[in-house]
Amino acid sequence: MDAYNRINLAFLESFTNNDKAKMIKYINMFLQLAPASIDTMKQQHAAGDWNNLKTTAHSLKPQLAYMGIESLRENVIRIEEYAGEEKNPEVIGNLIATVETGCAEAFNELKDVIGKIA
Amino acid sequence: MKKETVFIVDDEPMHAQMMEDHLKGKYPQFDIYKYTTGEECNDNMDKNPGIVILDYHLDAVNKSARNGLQVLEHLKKAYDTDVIMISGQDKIDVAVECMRAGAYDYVVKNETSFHRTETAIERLFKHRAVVHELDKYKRNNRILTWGIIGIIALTIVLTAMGVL
Repeated sequence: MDAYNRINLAFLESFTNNDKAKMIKYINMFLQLAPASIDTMKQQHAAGDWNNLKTTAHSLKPQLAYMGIESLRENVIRIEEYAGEEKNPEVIGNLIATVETGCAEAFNELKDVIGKIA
Repeated sequence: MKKETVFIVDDEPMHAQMMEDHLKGKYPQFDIYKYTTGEECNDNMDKNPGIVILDYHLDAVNKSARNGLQVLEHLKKAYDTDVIMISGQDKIDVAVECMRAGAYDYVVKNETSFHRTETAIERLFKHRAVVHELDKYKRNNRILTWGIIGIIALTIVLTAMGVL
């Protein structure tokens, strides 16, 4: 597998025993679910809906782990913590923006992976 | 390997799908059903699941859904099923709360959760085997005790009758 900046598919390769069809299935699920979660986080942040923002961030966390997007996972953990404490709304906004930008790069890398292994 | 009905109750489709695929690979004899809410799980309890793999956060998508802890408490009160709790929370107090409510084990939702769930299932099978052996031992012990009591009683009666 080529080296990518955002993603590390070592876990996914191991989990699927390098089964390309399964890898594509999980990557496609992530590509479908993660953008929706990011949009939801943005809406919840704008509405000051901290409790639900915490839950959405919490759900996104393992998905990022499965795709090996570790740097952004740390940001999502901080979003979850701050939302739970209902503090640092500005920092949360910046963190969501960072996650959105980083995930956009990760999505492109994952689409590239699909193109290569499909 | 005996058949087992297993429920995966999780509102995160990706994790639920990966768990189902992992368990199907390891235990082809399992009948696995996936549900996204505790209410759905409850409606299908007539399938008699031996194991329920239950997410702690079941209200991430459907905000009005019962959370995992409420579902766990209900399952342990109403049914004889073993529950393995899964959660993104790695806080010890959450794990303790679940174990106190009757969970067989608590697994943190991350890359290791699939293997850890499998380990929990293996331990559960061993635990059940020990409980089964213990029940058999107790049953045999009861039969032996009543047998001895019967022999003593018979000896007393026969002695009183002058037969012995």
